[in-house]
Amino acid sequence: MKISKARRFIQLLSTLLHNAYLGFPITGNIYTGSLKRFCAPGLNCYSCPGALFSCPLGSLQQVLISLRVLPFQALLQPIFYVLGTILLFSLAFGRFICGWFCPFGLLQDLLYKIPFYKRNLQLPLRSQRYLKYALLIFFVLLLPTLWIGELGYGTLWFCKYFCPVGTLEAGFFNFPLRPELLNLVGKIFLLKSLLLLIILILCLIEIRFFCKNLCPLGLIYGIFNRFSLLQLRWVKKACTTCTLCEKACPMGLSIPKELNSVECIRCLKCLEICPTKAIHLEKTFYYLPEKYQINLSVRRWRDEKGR
Amino acid sequence: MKKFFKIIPLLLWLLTFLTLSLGYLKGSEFVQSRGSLLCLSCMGLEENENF
Repeated sequence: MKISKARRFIQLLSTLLHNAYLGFPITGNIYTGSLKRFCAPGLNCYSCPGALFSCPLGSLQQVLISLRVLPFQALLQPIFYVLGTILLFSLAFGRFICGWFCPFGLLQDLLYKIPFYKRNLQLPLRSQRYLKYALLIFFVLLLPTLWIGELGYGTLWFCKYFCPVGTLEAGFFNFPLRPELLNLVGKIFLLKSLLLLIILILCLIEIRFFCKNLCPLGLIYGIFNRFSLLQLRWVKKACTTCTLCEKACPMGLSIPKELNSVECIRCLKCLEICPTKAIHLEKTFYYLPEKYQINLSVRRWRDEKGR
Repeated sequence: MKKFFKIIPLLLWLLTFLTLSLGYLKGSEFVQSRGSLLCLSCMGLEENENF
């Protein structure tokens, strides 16, 4: 099976697994069972009627907003658990999760297939890519911790004011189940819906617009890309510098310089398209800086060729 | 230098298993309790006394 077909199959399977709760039409409620104690790897709202697992970003913010109300000792274990889970996903997979498992990633891939005006949306110096850093630092970490409401709890800033996945999955999908929720629609929902619409349109124009520029979860996974178990390697000697890999890269990366960078979602399109197989996937338990990686790959390539 | 680079991921893996094993019991309960509530914030809805 070709890599791209295998990837699409796994994306579909993962989306179904993330949202495999089918009891919501009967109970009229979201899933509340024991699987909710685990976080899902992808960006998938835990208030989606079908969601089996919790959202890692939502859970992290839930811990942070409780810091001023609940005693620190009571929150120590939740902090460890949520950070440990995110670290586990990051170290095991890195941004493989974005490319292969994330339900919102699949939606973006499918949206981009729709014939529409296509363009790479670029600000000078690719500065739009830094939006996700601001979202992670301010909306996920600082504001939920520091901005305290009347009752002492903080607010889930990223979920409440930004997350397009929450608006789509939790908001729109819950209305048919619980029409009384419509009474709570206000300015925030309308603004979030507008934001969702804008993001979806931008995903029609540019492939993976949300992953590239706005996803804080992808950013966390990306930071650990260089430490994850599976790494992309480039064999300099085998490379003909045809640049086919760069043309195929949905993230617009400069290859091999940005292989394993924060932005690489491990879709493996570069590996699939390379005519000389100069890029390959390697299991590793350790991190090597770029110069060692290339040397190591060359040595292996020579060994394979018996040179 | 090479040894140092090899140690970083091993330390991170150790940290992961340490935090998960220390936090699993009450941490997972906390996550389940919060994840099982319909989150109005996630939907972008505003809380109302009548709800």
